[in-house]
Amino acid sequence: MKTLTAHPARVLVVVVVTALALIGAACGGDDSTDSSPDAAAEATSTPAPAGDDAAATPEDTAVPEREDEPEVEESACPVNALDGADTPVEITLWHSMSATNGEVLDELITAYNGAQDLVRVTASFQGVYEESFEKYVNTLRTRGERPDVIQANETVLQQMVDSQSIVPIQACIEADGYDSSDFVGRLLDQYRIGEVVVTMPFQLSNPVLYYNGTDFVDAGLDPDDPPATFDELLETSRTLVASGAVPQGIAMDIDAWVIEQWMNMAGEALVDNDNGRSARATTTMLDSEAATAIYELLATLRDEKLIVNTGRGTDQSVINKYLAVALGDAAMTIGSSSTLGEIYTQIGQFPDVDLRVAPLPGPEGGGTAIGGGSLYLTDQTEAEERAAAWDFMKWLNEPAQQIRWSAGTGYIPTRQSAVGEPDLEALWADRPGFRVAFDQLADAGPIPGGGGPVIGDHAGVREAIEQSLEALFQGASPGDAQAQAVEQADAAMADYNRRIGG
Amino acid sequence: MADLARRARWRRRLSIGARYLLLVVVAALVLFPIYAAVMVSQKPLTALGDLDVLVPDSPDLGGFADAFDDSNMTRYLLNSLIVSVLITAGQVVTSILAGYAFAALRFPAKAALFYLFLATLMVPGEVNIVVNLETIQRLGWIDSYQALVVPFLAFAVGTFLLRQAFLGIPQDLRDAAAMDGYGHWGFLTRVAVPLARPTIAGLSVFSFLLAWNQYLWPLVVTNDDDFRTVQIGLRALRDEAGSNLNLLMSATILASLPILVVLVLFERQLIRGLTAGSIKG
Amino acid sequence: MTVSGPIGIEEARATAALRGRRQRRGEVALAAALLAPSLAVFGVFTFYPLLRTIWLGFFLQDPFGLRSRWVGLDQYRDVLGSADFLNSLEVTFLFALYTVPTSLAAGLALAVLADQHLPGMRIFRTIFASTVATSVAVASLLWLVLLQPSAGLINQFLDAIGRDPVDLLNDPDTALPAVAATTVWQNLGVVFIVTLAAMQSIPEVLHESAKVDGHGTWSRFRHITLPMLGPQLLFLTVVLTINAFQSFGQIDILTEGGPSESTNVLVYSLVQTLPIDPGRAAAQAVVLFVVIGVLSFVQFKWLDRRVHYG
Repeated sequence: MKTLTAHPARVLVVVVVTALALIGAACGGDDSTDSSPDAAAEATSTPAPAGDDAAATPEDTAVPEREDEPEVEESACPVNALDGADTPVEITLWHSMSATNGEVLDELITAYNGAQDLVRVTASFQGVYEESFEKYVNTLRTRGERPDVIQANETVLQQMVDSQSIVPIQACIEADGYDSSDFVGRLLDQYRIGEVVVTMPFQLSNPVLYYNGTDFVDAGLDPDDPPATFDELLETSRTLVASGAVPQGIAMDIDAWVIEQWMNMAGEALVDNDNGRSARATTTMLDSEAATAIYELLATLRDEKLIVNTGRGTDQSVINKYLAVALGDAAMTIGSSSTLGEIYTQIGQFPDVDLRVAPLPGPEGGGTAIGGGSLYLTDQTEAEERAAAWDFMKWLNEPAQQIRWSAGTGYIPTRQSAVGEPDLEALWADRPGFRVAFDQLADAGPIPGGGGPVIGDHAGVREAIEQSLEALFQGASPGDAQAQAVEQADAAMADYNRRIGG
Repeated sequence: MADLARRARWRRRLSIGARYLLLVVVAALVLFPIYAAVMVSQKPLTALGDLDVLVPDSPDLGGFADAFDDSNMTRYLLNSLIVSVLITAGQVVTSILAGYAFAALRFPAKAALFYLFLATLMVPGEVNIVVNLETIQRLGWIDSYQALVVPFLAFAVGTFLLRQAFLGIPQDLRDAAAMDGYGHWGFLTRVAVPLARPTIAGLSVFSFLLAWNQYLWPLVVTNDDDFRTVQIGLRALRDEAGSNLNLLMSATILASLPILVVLVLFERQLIRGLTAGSIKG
Repeated sequence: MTVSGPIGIEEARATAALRGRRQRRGEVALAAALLAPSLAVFGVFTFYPLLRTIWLGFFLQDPFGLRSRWVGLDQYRDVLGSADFLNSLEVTFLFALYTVPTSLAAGLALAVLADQHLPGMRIFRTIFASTVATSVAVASLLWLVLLQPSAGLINQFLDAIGRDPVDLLNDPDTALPAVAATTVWQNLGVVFIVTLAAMQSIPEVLHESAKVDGHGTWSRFRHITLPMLGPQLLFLTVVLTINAFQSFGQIDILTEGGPSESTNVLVYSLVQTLPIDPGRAAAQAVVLFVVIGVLSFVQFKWLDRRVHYG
């Protein structure tokens, strides 16, 4: 502050000199590639080529090979560095868990900090996934202080790799000889690029159907027989509305995740190159038959006034779809299993609502992909911090913690061995809704590429899908909406790939 | 005669009555969103689906208590207070200094510099966020009060208002002060600033309000909950509160209370200050 | 005498000039010292970033600060030609159009109402000024109580009179006006305070003499009050317009730019672009700066000629 006010002249000089320098450079610089306006990017360590440590990789991985998979170096994850370190080692976590889910996460962290003296975790809520990731990227670009661990959703996998700012968790798995075979099916595959597991699972979710059994009974429907296919969803909505039980059958926000999951359920890839898993994705399949079925379903619901559209992208749009069911505007909605915990804390206020959960109705042939998100280990940390972070992430994935996490939030336990544990069995017996997403995932058929899509600008593709759905709900034909989605999504991917130089 | 007077009196009373009625109706309209929020903050979620929610009930202050418990609200409020007071003080000082220079001193490129000051009003802070964030990172100021305060320590509007106020001081006073041997500094501190007190008061309230309401910048330069201001806290609470509209409204009302107090206490200063500064055009 | 006279004058002039120059130099140094704090802050946090932002706009960048390539004016051309940008520009202009005149008219009306001598007027003044106490975040959240589709009071009211519910924030035709309404409401207090202050400083005699001349209430308002408020209305117009062009918080809280980009104002779009494509965001920022600069300048020049300074 003092130096700032004391040397105005110097500041002016700096401004002028900078301006001149910029102009000079502007004239000189033509097409020099990689001439950063900042100091040259810090060279990332170039580790030796990945060895033949395939032992840690399950044999039956369905994920295709990829030439530009991230390089793995065991030494990047010094798992034993906590021995003899100055303890407790402090690490920071940026997370996106709010409301009930945030409280449960805080409880878990308090429990972890209390259970051992080596590591202290400080967590801070950084807004929803998108906000938190934006903040991470801004911090990275301006060379600021990043957290040791950041929680993110499944859409940033490719970007995190491209950012060259993280340690692939594969390094820790190999360095620690960590047994990853107990993770539920296809969970690690979701987070692989080629053979390399990039990030540590933590919060695992799936979209499910929420519905009010009371409305079903009022409409003469069997609440134990929820719709399972697109046709049934449509028929159920018609019956619900025709009977006068509710003004609208279903409330939905505009969420590209659900569209992606419907593509997965149809066994179709969303993007080329095996869902972006054998090479960088370059184009979307939003004009495929599977996509057409989705857009046509929504158009029919729209035309017959069977759907409340609560809008896109805002936190309000999510809250509003649940409130629509709670307050009687619609009988069904589609949402993440991870809102179950929050719903159960609020449901007591609505005695007329008989809340039920069913698998996501949709096409057949494939199955839903892993949703939710994971924890990324950033590379700015020192050896002992990486070791501490690894210890913390392992602890969070132990069955006991995963059961507690699932019971509080509705996230799906990441470990197979959690099944059969008394706590989980008791929860599932008491509130069967908590089991639906787990079973749905366990029963899921194959997906091209072995997991959901991997896209550099996944957010841009989702934006394109959501804008096309907005157009649809304002009256666009399914075909026009799809064409718009393809054009915009492909442009977003091309733009990203061009800037990454891939 | 008496009859006429009585009728005139009646007409006046009627007209006064009508005026009050109009005032009350308009006041009710202006206050309605706040009133509705207060009511919602007192009711359970189930009450929301009904207009009855607007009927006052036995007050339940639980929402307010929750708003304090469930969030770092006390800390947010304190941070906002610290930041706003520092910004206000800083802006008043720098504006007095610069305003005096523009009003009373002769120096080269004065007009150009004055326009340069005014030009800062046309540069939206948002435009500069890309680079300012970089600067703050480089200074190591992320999660600090400096980051929230220092970029706002100069204020073109304040400079402008104080220049106007200083220009309004009669030449006689300046001459008299010169005779008494006051230099510029003495004149500024002993004569000009006391005379400009109404403008300074108005500017202070204005600066405080602006600082209190900052939104985007505090959002970008704070990662640590302990440095977040109340606006950012509210924004985070919107997510954290989930569907708890009553909790959210409780927090929203809490967040605006301190500033409402400032307004009630200093409304006159604000009006006088703005009048004194701007009326001379 | 005749000889020494001019010499004396010359001498006097010389010493005066000398003293003047010395004084002048002292004044310049003092001015520099007084302006230094403000200039330092403006230099570091306003002008330097502006120049650097212009510079960054010439580079195609990845989001992470790793790869960047000189593309000259391409990015600026892209921004200016893109449908998204043109949409944002239109939305922003519309937003200013919805909010600025309405805020001015409504706030002025409140000030006229409150500019009477009645007992208890202070309470009404405080109420009318009260929206100053709300921030963007507070105002936006408060209005959610009205606008929320399932639980909001507007729909409860429509339901009570047998009309279909609406979702104002989720309809591209109404979202921007709805956000604008919250902004107008929030602006009321500021406009009220500034215009009332100015009204109260209009000398009473002006009104009295006009009354004697037989001017009615409206005529007095039209021919005395309004012209006397010129400078304040000019100030408010410019400030509110700049504010409208910089609006972010209400969009962030209420609509996040949607639906169908119908509320995606320039600043919101800029902040969204930044983490994805910083080079493009820089180019957007520069264009935004030019737009605001030109607009304020034109407004100032155009209105200034019509303002009567008392």
